[in-house]
Amino acid sequence: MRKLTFDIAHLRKYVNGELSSKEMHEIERAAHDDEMLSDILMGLEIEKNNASSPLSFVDINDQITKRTVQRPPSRSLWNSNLFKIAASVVVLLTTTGILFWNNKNQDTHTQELVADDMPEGPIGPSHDRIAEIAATPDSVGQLFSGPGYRQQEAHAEQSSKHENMSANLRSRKLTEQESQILAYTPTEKNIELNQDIAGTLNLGHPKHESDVIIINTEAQDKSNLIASNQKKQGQPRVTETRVSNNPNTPLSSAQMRARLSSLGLDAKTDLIWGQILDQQSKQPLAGVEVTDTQNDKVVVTDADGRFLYAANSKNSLKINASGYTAKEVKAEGGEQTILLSPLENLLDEIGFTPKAKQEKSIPTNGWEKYMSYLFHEIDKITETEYDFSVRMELNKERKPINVSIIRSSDRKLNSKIIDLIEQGPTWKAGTDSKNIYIQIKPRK
Amino acid sequence: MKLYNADLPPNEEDAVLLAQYLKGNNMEALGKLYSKHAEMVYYVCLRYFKEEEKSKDAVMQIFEELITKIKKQDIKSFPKWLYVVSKNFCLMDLRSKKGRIEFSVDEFVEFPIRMHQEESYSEKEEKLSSLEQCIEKLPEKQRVTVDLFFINEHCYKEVVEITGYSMNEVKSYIQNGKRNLKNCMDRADA
Repeated sequence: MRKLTFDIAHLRKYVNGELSSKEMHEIERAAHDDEMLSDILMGLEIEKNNASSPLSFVDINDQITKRTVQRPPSRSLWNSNLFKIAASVVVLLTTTGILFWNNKNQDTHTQELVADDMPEGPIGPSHDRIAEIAATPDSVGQLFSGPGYRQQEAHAEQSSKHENMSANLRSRKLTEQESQILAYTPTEKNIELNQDIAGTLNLGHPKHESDVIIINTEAQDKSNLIASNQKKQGQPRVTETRVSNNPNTPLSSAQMRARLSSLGLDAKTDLIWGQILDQQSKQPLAGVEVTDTQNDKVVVTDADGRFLYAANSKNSLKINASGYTAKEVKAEGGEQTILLSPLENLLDEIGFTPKAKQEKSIPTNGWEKYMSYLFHEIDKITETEYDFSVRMELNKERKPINVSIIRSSDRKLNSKIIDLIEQGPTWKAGTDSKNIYIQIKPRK
Repeated sequence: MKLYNADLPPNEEDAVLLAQYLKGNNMEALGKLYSKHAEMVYYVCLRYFKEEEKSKDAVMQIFEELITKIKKQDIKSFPKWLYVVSKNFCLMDLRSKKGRIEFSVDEFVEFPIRMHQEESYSEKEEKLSSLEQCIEKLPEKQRVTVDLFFINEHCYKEVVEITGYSMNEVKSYIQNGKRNLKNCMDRADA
């Protein structure tokens, strides 16, 4: 009876190569039928490759214990409806107050407000500007201006304020002032304006209704980053619009593009995306590694065989899938479909043969005659059924040498079999002539 | 060829602890139950996240999910159920990460839910003969490795030594051979 469960300590020994062959096989065999086991093994291999010391579980068990003992009372407080309502009221009142104050003082205090919005630290020169234009379905446009723009762009400052409001109070009707913001929804003209002021921008035009295009200046200096962080904190709702409403729905390539653009990649960045299919069946291939040959970055295809990433140059991509011929293709912007041909075709159904780089060694007189020679000779010395595996090399005279028996159904016959092979027919050497494996087992 | 049944025998202690939690909302029982399997959860997370700290955090986050989820389902094998919950947690997290600002391009990876066939071919004696026939029909590399691994019970390392193929080749031939066998068996059925 096989042992069907394995503890982690045992599996760790496997990963470290401390087990006997039999034990190793036991685990490998079980992993074929048990995805959980196979995942754990992969986790352990990652731990080993990271060269980190095995995790101490004292910490985690402590945390679990703490969680099970202390948390319930505090949970019940948090869960209490009264508490939630009170918290909501406080938040609502504060927000309304700030907005009201903003409205009232808009004309006179514009500059102060903008200054308040900006970080205390060093404020960059005029190019430290982040303009963000969101083309969400309800078309909230945003502009965020640095103080360097006060004179040129009073209008933009106003909208930087209003953008707060529209973000926080989407649900209410738009006021006249807020309607002005909508003038900043991404029109072609608007984007060009920003480009003039901010210098080179990463530009993209919304291609999709729910696209979010984020435009950054090239300057990535400190104050720029601070401003961007601050903005994030202040407007959680707006940030949310960058995220797909439902994280489970697959992204359109346009959405992926938009998300990548939020990473601050420069305009030269090309997106490479495509789908990898089996050449014969046209089925998508999941889990295929796609490597950028320039920087060795690797992405893995998803369940639909799709992959996407940003590359800064048009280098070739190497595609590796187990069971398929590795392929190198030129990386092209835009979508491409890559077909992979299987290494070996089952049963050679359509007579397709892969490029034969590896040529197997074969007996000079052919397998059939060779095997019948062996069977015939062995039948002379035994009457029972037998089954041997043999490994051998070929010498320059194409005679088998260094024959060793790997598996034997009858050890007494081992030396006889070695003799039979070493003194038997010659071979035609292939690429594997230093490592030939044959199984000697008569078919019934 | 020996066939394999991967179903774990139900662990009695798990069942007792589970019942304690479900009946009496006994958090300590749940904690004890989870502690027994936390290591497994950690390594599953590590397999998907590849980061130790994140995986540790995930162990606790999954525990939080457990508190409510566990009541909604009829759990037969706790470890298996926990594994599915953990894996889903990781996959969900990896997917949602793609939408956030802080992710780096390197991590633009969506892990497929693996498509291995898990089912055993059949336990019926009559099918064994057609299985043997199918093995004979496999391309040579697959046949040799499948034979060495499944029938002669050599571990991967030994198969590598015997055949001279690399470890990755061996794994992939065995995987493909297994899939081809499955296809062949299905055809034999039809």
